[in-house]
Amino acid sequence: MYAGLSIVTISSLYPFFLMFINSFKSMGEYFANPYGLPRDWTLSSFQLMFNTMDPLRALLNSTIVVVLGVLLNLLVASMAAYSLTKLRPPGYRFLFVSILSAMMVPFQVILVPLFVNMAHLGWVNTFQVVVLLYVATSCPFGVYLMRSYYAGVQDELIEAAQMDGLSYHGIFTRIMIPVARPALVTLGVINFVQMWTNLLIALVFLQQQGTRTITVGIALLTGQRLTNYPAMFALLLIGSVPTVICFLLFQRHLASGVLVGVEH
Amino acid sequence: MTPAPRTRRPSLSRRLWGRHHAGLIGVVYVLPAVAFLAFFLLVPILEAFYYSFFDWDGVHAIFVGLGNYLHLLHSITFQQIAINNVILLACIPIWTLFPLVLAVMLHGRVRGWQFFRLAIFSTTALSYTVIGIVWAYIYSYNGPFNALLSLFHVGRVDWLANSVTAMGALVVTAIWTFMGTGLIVYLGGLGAIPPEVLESAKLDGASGVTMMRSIILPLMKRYVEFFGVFSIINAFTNLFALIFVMTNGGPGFSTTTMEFYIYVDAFSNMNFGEASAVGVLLFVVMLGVALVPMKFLQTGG
Repeated sequence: MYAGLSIVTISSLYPFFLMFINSFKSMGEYFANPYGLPRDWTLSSFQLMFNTMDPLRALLNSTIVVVLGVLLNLLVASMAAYSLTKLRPPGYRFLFVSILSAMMVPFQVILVPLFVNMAHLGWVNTFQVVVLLYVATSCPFGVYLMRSYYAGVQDELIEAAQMDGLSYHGIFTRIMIPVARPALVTLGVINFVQMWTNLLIALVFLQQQGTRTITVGIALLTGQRLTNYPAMFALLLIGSVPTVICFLLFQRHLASGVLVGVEH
Repeated sequence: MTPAPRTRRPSLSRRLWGRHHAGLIGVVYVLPAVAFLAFFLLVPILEAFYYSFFDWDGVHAIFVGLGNYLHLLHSITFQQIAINNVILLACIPIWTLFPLVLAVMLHGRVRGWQFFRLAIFSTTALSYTVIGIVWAYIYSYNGPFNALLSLFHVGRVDWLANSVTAMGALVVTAIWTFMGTGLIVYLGGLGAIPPEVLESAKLDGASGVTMMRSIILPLMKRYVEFFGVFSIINAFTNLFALIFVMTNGGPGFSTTTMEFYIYVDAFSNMNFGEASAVGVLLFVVMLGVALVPMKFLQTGG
C-alpha cells in the first residue's frame, strides 16, 4: 500500500523534477545524461531560450490579460451575488438558476459563433476580447461561490449599517466586499490559475506573434521540431512559475474552492 | 397547539428601502453578469444551432438543413471520433474511483499524510499545456518511461505515435491530471465521516478491500457522484490542451474527441457549419450528462 502511494506521489512530483533538472543542463550534458541530476549546473539553456523564444513578451501578455480578467470577474461576480442575495430584483431565482446553468455549456460549442461575432466586430487579436471571454466563462462559478458566501452575511448587520445612513452602494463597498475577503481570495486564485493556463480561448483569439500568451507560446512549441530539450524545459519552467507560486501560497484556498463545488 | 401563521417576511431590502427601490438597484448590480452571459454565451449558443444548418466556409453559406448532421452520421471519421468519446466514457469509473482509493489509503492511516496530499494536489498548479508536453516527453520513444521499461526488459513503445496505444496513454495522463482534485474532494468527504463508524467497522473484522467498499462507498455517494459528473465533464470538454500538445488528435484521428474535432473542423477544414453541428451534438450530450444524475437521485436516493 505504501508502495502504491509512493509511486503515485513520485509520479506527481516527477514533472516538476524533470523541468527543474533539465533546465539547468546544457544541451550537450542532456544528451550525455538525460535522466540524472546535472553535473554541471548552467544557465546556458535559459539564455538560449530567452534569445530564441522571447518569453518575456508572452509573459507580459499573459499578465495583462489574466490580471484584468481576475479583477473584472471578481467585481462582476460580487455585484451579481450581492444583487441575488440581498437586493433580490424581480425574477432573481430564475436569474440565479440561469447563471448557474451557464456552467454546463462547453466552450467548444460556442467557439465558432463567438469567433465569427468577434471577427465581425474586429475584436480578434485584441486583449479586450480575451479578457471579456475569460470573465464570461468564469462568472457563473464566481457568482455561485460569492453567493454562497454572501448568503451567510446577516441581515441585521446590513440593517444596522442602513440605520447609520449607508446607501445600498455603501453597503456593498463597506460591508459585503470586506466581509467576503476569503471568498474573494479563493475566487481570485482559482480564476488566476484557470485564466493563466487557458489555451483554447487565447489560441483562437490572440493569434498574432506579438500578442500571444505564454501558455499559447508553450503549446506552439510542439509544432516545431524541437530537439533542444533543456531549452524547452526552461521555457516550461518559466511559464509555470506564476501558477506554482500561486499554488504554494494559496493551496488552502484552492482546496476549499474545490470543496465548495460539492455542496450543491 | 395551533401552528403559527406563515408570514412572509419582506426581504431585507424591502424593509429598509421600500417596495421598488431595492429591486431596481438589484437589477443594476446583476446586469453586468447577465449582460456578459447573454452576449458571450446565450447568443452564441443560438447561433451555433443556426450555423449547423449551413455549409459554410467563412465566405459562402449554403443552407443544407440536416445535411451536416447526416454527413457526420455517415462519416467514418466521425464514427471513430464518437467511439473515442465512448472509450473516454468507459474509462470514467477508473477516473472517478482511483482518487478515492488514494484518499482511503491516506485518510488517517499514514503519518505525514499532509505531505502526500500536498504532493498529489500540486499537479493542479501546472497548466494542461505544460502537463501535456512533459508527458509527451515521458512517453517518447527515448524518454524516461521507455527507459524504465527497458530496465525490466520490456520492449520500447512509441506510446503516442501508435494508434493502438495513443488513446490509452492520453487517458492515463488525463487521470493523472485530475486525480489531485479528486483526492481533495474525497479526503474532504472522508473527513466528514465520524471516526467511530470506521473504527467499529474495522473491529468487526472489516479488513480487505470489499468490506471497506460496502461501508465507504455508500457514505461517500455524494462525493463520488460529484466527482463522477465532474470527471465526465472534464473528459468531454476539458482535454483540448492535452490533445493539442500531445498528439494533435493523431495518429490519424485515434485521439480526436468531439471536443477536439470542433476546433479541427472549424480552423483546419474551414467547415464552420459542420463544426457547429458537432458543437450542438456535444451540447446535447452534455445536457444528458447533467440530467442523468438528477434522475439517479430521484429514483435511487
